[in-house]
Amino acid sequence: MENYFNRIVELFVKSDVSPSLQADFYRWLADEKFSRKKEEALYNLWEKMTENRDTESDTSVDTWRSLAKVNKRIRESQGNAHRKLLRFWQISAACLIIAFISTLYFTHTTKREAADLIEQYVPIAGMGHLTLPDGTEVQMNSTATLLYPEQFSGKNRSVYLIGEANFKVARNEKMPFIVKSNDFQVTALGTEFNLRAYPGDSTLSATLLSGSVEVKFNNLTSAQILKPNEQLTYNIFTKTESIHHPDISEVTAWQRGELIFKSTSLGEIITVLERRYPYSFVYALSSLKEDKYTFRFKENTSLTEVMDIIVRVSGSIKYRIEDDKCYITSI
Amino acid sequence: MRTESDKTRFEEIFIQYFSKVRSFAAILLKSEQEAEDVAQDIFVKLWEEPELWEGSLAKNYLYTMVKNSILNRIKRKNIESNYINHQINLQSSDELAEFEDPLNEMYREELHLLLKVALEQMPDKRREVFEMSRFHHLSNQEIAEKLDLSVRTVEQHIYLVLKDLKKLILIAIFLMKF
Repeated sequence: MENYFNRIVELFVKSDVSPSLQADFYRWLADEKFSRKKEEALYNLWEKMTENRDTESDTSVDTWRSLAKVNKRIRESQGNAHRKLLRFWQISAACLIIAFISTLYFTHTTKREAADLIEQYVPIAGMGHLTLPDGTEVQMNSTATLLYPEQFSGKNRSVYLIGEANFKVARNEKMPFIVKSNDFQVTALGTEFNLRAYPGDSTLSATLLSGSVEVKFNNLTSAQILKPNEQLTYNIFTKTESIHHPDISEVTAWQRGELIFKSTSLGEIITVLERRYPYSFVYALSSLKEDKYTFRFKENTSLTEVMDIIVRVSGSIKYRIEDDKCYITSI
Repeated sequence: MRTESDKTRFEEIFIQYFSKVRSFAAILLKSEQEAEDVAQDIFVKLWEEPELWEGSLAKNYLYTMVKNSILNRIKRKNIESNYINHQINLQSSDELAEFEDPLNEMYREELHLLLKVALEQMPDKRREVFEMSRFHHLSNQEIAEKLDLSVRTVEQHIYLVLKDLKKLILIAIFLMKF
């Protein structure tokens, strides 16, 4: 049955509305008066939304990405069943900062016990370089987070990475250097490698530049030793790995500030741009075609230049930048 | 601990319903990011309740969950937006008396909100003319001068708005009677 309630809800969801109307609508919807009729209208709206009956073929990258995030959160909450605190990595990272500050406080007054963890975070559009206490050089890409102890002790040197970084590991045969991330673990003695493990990306990859490393993946049940110039890519959805021989200058392009995309879909390109530039991107993934593109941008290319070229090449989208937002729409 | 077949079943439900849950939240909250958060939270909870994974149970559970979390978020926004006035404000509602439905005095608030939503969906120029006429009480002549239009055009704009609004409300009123 159609009525005022359905009409209001239908018109509200149909398009963009002014903030004042949105506020009016919200107050109306949350108001107890006629709440049953309002709920009916919501239910009718719900019934009209389509379901994804045909699995696989119809499923968007977005949905797979969300599935990966949900699975990750489920795994994390299981891994810490007795301590439900660690639900997102953001929260866990925040907890580590708190833990770090409080341990700092205590270690200043009492004797040092376990090693203190230090968190290094590179903001959007940034890049960071640091030297670890053992002399290992780390170059970090935008939005990457690295957790490492103030002093390495014990049998190995372990650090935790979220995002992408390049490691030039200081040689120490007695203490292997281990980088842990989401689903990946790379063990090295003295070597240089690049690890890319951004939360939300469908694939993780480790590329060896020199020396030798062992990569463990799939909940650490599989392992693979890499030779120089080899890249191991692991798809967290299909749980399959593959070895490539990429152009090393492309793998390390980000360190020089270059942007390289090789047969990459617009959705994936935007994901990378979101890390590189301090703009939030507003777009509907469903409106982007799955076509693959190859682009190469020099260092310090502005977002406008990048977008101008992408728009011209793809021919299927347009964009506009307002304040710190970049709106992308299909034509 | 769950088995592999649990995982597969969960993924099937996820693929079937996730975008429905997310889109439902997105069009109401008008924010893709919030919608994504809401939808992810709900599916993380669903994982904890395997007895709800069967057929229509899953769907009903998801609806209840998404509706409640949207309403909770909206209530929080209402508190934050710090509105003192709880009435739907159509600048001067008396001016819209021409739309009042005497039989539906009880749905006054709904009627006003409906008019407001409908007005927003009209072309900018047409809405501007209408608001100047009905809310700011300008004469057609004054509006025509201000907007550099002919009086004839102004009249036409107002006529079209009235026609659209009346049609919309008539349909809603008509159907409400059943």
